[in-house]
Amino acid sequence: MRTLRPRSLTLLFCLLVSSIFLINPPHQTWAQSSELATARQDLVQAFQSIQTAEQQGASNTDLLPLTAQLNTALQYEEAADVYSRQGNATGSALSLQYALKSIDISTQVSFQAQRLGSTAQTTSLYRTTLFYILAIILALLSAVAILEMNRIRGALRRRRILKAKIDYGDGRHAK
Amino acid sequence: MEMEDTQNRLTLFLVIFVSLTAIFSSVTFYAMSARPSQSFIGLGLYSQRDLQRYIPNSNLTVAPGQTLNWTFAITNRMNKEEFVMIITRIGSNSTLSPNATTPSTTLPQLGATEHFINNGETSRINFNWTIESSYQTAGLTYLNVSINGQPTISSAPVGTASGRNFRLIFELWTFDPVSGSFQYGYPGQTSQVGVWLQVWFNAS
Repeated sequence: MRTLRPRSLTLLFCLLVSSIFLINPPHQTWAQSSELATARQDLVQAFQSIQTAEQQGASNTDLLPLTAQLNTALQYEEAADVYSRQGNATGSALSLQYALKSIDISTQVSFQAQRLGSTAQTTSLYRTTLFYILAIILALLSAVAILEMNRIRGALRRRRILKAKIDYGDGRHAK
Repeated sequence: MEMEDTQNRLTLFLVIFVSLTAIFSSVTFYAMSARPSQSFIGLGLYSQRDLQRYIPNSNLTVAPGQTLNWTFAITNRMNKEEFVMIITRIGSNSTLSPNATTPSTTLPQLGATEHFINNGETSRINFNWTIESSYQTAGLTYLNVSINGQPTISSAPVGTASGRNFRLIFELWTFDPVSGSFQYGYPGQTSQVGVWLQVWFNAS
């Protein structure tokens, strides 16, 4: 009987520890705070994606809806934070729900911002290249025009002479 | 003779062509460059009813239980998207104010509102606050304030005699992606530029 006593104490201790986990499940709390932290990180990442897209040349008009969506994600993240502070099961469940909503929107915003940025960068590259090619063509044409000024003037003069009407003097000198 | 003339013309053509290319490329670069502008963030506060004819430190009296509906107007001219936070603090005529470089971190924080603002946009954020109750200790009045329906926060250690000369202080903070945290004000050309507002009130 005496030899069994430490064993039963150990068993009792284990049961007590288990009951603590049953009352307050550690995994759920951990997952919830983890989701909340992820929601925050994703918000920041989406924000940085928008800033990068701006640098790549994406227009304000295109980015405006993404900012609105990001504010919605922020509201969800704040709601998740408020519910997580309640410290009860319902609060935890709602917190997780809102955190996941926030993560979903932030991920979408991030993806769309990257796509917009990539498109804007390509468009910007094409436009820049086109403008510089036009500048070179204009320089080429101007250089030719400057060099061949005398010929151009001569050709214009000749054309003017050819187009001019011949005045026969209305037959006055015929008599 | 004709060969030499052709060579001269070719050289002249190249000189003119290179010069004109430089000129037109410069014009293209100038036309395509972003116009220089001074970046800033503006913070304003307005109300359709409560802040009309507001005179600082004079005529705004707030009764316990009365909810005041105010609106922040934040203008972003930073040439990029901004993630801003407005921290609301409570102070009195005997507490230090924030300035262009330092926030009033010693004053109790009643709440914080975060918002993303697109470049060139002005965002409006609702700010509703209520003095839920007040209490007196050692001849000073302290307030319990609720902001946007959040749990009540005490103004302690900020208290005033007879509930007069309280002030709500609003500080603008911007998110710095490098440090991963909010910084007071917005990044200026050389250093952070602090932005803050205050509204004086008496608690009746």
